[in-house]
Amino acid sequence: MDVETSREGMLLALDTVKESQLAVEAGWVITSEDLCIYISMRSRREEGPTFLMRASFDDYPARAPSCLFVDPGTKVPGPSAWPTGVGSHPRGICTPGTREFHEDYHKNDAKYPPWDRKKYPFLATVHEIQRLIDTKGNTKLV
Amino acid sequence: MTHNHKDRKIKLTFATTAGDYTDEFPVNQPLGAVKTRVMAKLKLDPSTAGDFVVTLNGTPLDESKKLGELGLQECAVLTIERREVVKV
Repeated sequence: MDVETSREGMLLALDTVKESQLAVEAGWVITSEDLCIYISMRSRREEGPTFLMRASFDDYPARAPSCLFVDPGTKVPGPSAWPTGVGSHPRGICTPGTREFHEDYHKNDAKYPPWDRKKYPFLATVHEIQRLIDTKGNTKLV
Repeated sequence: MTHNHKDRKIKLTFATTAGDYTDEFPVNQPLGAVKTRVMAKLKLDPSTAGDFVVTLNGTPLDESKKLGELGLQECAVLTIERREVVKV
């Protein structure tokens, strides 16, 4: 997939997320850099740490965005940057719509339709990650 | 102009992954009925309303209660989301 096509797809996904009231409700802070979207997220239910999710759109839309958590300060991936119950470092985030879900955790799993950006809109994937953070007790203070 | 309680309305935004919807809703309407109406406006199949919950700050609200009984603030943003988190 050429870089310009991936960038175009990433910018469309970025606009959709930025314009959604889901971002307002959850307090997401959204930035982008090169072919990556960064979203700062925390539990909506209780006070707790902030996690920084990085979605890499290289090879998008041929492949799903690669999603993992990085250190909010250094933007370097690592186990300490990871909330519980959302997958793990270094495999990536396990929820439909992430590259890691379709190409690793649930590769060839007939229960889930194969990756397709229309079936798995990026906004729905981010919202599902938010719900996992909400429900997994990610409330410890760091 | 003074409205009695029966006529009062509250402005709310419902956020979903299919789009957002903002309107003024009578405070004497049950949240469940409002959810179904909003889903229809967003072209989400209202017959599947039971599969979805309305949340505030990530916490599901009691849909049998009327809007005026839920302590919602004017211009609050609620979300309509699937009842179950996707099992992986």
